[in-house]
Amino acid sequence: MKTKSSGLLICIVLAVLVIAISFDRYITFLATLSAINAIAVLGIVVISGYTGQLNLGQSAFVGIGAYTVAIMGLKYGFSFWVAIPVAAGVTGFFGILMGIPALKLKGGPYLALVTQTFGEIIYLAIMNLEDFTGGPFGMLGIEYPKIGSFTFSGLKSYFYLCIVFLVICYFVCRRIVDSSLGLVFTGIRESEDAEQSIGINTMYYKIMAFAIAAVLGGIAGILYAPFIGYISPDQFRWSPSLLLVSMAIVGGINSLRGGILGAFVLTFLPEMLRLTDQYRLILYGLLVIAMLALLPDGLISLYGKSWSEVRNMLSTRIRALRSRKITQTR
Amino acid sequence: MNLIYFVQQSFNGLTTGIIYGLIALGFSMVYQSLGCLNFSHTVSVMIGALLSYTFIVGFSLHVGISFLLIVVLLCIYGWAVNHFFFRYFLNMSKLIFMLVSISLAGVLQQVALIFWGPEARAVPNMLGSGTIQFMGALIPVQNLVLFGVSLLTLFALLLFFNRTKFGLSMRIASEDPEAASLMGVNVEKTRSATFAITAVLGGIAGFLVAPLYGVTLNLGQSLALKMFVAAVVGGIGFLPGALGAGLLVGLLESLSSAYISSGWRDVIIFAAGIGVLAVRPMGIFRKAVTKH
Repeated sequence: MKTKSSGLLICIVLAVLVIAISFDRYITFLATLSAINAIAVLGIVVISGYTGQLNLGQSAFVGIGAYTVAIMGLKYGFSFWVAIPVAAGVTGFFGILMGIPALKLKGGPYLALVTQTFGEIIYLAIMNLEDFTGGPFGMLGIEYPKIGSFTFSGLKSYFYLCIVFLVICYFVCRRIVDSSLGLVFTGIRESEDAEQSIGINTMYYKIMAFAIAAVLGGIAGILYAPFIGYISPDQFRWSPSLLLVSMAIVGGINSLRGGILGAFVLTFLPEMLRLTDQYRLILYGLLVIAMLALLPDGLISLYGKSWSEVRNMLSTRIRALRSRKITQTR
Repeated sequence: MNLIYFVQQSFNGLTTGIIYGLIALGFSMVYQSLGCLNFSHTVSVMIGALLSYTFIVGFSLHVGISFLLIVVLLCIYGWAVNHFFFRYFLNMSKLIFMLVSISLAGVLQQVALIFWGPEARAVPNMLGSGTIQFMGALIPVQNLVLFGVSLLTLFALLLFFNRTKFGLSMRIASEDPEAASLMGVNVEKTRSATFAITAVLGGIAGFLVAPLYGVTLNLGQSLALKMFVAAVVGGIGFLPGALGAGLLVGLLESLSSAYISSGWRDVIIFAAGIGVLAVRPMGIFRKAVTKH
């Protein structure tokens, strides 16, 4: 475990160096966006990967975080740093609120529906509470955070800020999933009944997992709002939620590093495909499908494997895809 | 006067409700036979609506002929999407199947964008004009026809599943695929048929809503979440439940926008959906099932 997380650290340092050296503002922009997405994806890894509870409403929490910062800054004049604990509290509260109806539900479709419609309710609430949130017109002019006289207004300084947040979130998540709490979470994923039978209150821990995921989404939102400068409800509807889940899966939903990797890959990928716009989105969709089909454990499962091992893995995968065995579906 | 308003709104609600029911039925049917959520299902609604525009406005074909053409083409579409795509993904985890179907929906929507372009289109009212007076309320003939066509479709489906040999073999294959294949049922064929039938149901729904909502590329997406609510609240995989819950969603939608607020209408529907699941985790119409 030690060597692996130091390996990640090296990767982050390298990435930061590359960004620092490069003069391309666009790449810096995308890298910052990736780091923000990665924080939200970490939440999905905790709730869906470790705890096994599907969450299709993550971007609603990003939205709540972003709107909390925007409203506190623009309407009441609080600084960015004061908004952080408030936004974390608010998103945590909504996370608990979403967790409660999800407690009894077993099985994908029901949970998928509850989390997705919960996200849609948040979206509609933001749309309708016009006096408070600006409704469909959104909110403009969110200020960059400051420390003393220094403002994080340059792209690069903001990028470093996001990376610092990402690293902190990563290590906090690492601590959580490696602790006994993390064991309880994986236990819920493997067999909730078994865990209840040895006297663990799984309801309590499930709600906690939902709250942790929500707070991570909220932190991503806090960083997102000043970075983009303009937020509107559409940015936090269900399609970005599904994109965040795809990031987690493409990277590898059972590992925190996988989630971060997936966030970077899927944020950069559409921009790398420089074709005309329509064909680009088609190609992007097909590539995502191919990655989902060929690497069900995510891109991170390629980490530390030799070329021949990778080839073996892919060929067994392709054989499995082509066999189409008739299996019991439920 | 108040009662008349209520009757009118209820009937409007039932009309949209039966459309939600038709779409939810297809979604639920795929879940019943494969155990997977097919989020690309609403693409067939979009295709049905786009084709009805092309046939009726573009080629100025007769309404009945265009309807039949849409049924045939969507049957082919449903078969093809399973044959060339979904059957390779059935052994994967449910989550991956779901994300794959979402990605496929995105791809197909872009393909449709290339063929049809982004603009919204209006389809003329081809299902009959005028109104009928019922208990003082004025009900458009169009809505009655829409309701009737939906009911006929459902009746045909009922006959197919209960009276034909292939329909029965589809039911047994969805109940227990291994046993069915031992009994000589071609399970792959029944799965293809499931996709074809659900695509046709979506296409018919698209054909019917085209004059009501107009034809846009987002048509399927905007119906998706409500149809999802209907399918799950009705107890996913339980077909009469999907239809019943679809009607309830439509009714709730039109009554809450008439009496409470049209802005908060969808919030009420979704909150009601979550509330129902919190109380009855398997849906309203189904008893809890214990698995061993």
